[in-house]
Amino acid sequence: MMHPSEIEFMAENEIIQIVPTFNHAGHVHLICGSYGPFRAGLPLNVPIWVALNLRQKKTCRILAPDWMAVDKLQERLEEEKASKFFTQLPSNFYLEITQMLLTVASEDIPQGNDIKTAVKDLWDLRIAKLRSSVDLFIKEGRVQASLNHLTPMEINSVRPVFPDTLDALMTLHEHINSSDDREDSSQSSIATPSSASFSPSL
Amino acid sequence: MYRNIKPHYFSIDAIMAAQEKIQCSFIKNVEHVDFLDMTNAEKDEESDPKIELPLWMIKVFIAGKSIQFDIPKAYNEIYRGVLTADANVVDLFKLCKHFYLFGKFLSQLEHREAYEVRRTLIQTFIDRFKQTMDWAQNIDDNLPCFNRLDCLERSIFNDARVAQQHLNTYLTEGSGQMEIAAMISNYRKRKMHESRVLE
Repeated sequence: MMHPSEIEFMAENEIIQIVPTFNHAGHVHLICGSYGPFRAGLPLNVPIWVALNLRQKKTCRILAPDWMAVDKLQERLEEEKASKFFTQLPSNFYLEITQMLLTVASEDIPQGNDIKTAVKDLWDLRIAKLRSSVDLFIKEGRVQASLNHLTPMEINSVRPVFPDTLDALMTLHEHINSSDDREDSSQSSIATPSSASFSPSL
Repeated sequence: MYRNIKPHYFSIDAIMAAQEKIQCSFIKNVEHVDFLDMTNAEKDEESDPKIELPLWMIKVFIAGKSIQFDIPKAYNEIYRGVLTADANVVDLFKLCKHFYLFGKFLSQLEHREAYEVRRTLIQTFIDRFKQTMDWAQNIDDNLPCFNRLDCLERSIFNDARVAQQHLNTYLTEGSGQMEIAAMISNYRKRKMHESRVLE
């Protein structure tokens, strides 16, 4: 299992736009790429960790990403509500990015509080969906599911429970398969890893 | 983080589960084991009196076809009915500390109800899973709930709980200072040791 802060660390590599207030003619060469030149007043792309660092030194202004606006997030929320499956989100790290930007640069982002609530709503909705589908998965004894558009943080929230649960279930099932020949025909009603009855879902 | 759920030779849970007692009676005369029954230490084991033996010992006698046992209370027909009706209301820990593991061992022994026991185990686990997960992720003070879980469920519960707490702390307080990974700090220690050896 990963710690949430490790996922945040991954999120810090996402690209974001800033408007610097200083001039620096050359490029800055980083492992994740070269960024620059920095010209006061002209927006440019940098990784989030650079942006946060500069912002904390008050040498730039962070431009909120396109999706980080109340009406856009509300749209996503409606879409998510309407769909049975998980919908594609504009960023794989929406929760972490919102959290980071609003902590460091809340003055740069208009309607910060509303955005925070909207993102939390979105997160809650998706987590509820995830939990009910995990439950369904276990209940119906499926062996396969496709989980499109889930973000790392969301996957991480079921990670500590899910593999162990499946493991426990499998050890319980194992014995039925290996030593039970009394009721071979009824096996298809419960899908075990060896009997491949499944339906792609979630 | 990932526990090995499968029982192995040194697994404490498996040892404890095999220690649970089962009521049984001998159907043949068995010599030299009269020390097992403290109540009538006079004679060798005979057919009629029922005694309680731990599961691992019953296994040995079963191999010699000299014993027959009753399915323990937690797995008998009445409780199977209760568990099928609503597994969520049962206090598993009170019923049997290692409900799943002991049940699994039990169903491996030859008995006419073994198959039903297995089915009940799986169904119970599936039915209770959602409740376990919900408790782990939602309620703050959940000792009363925790007390009703079997040992296997407890380990899953604890893992889920820890993860949820990490997430909650992250959401309320942010990530804070990152710590050095254990690998890096070990590497430093090793390097220091190496340089000392070289001197």
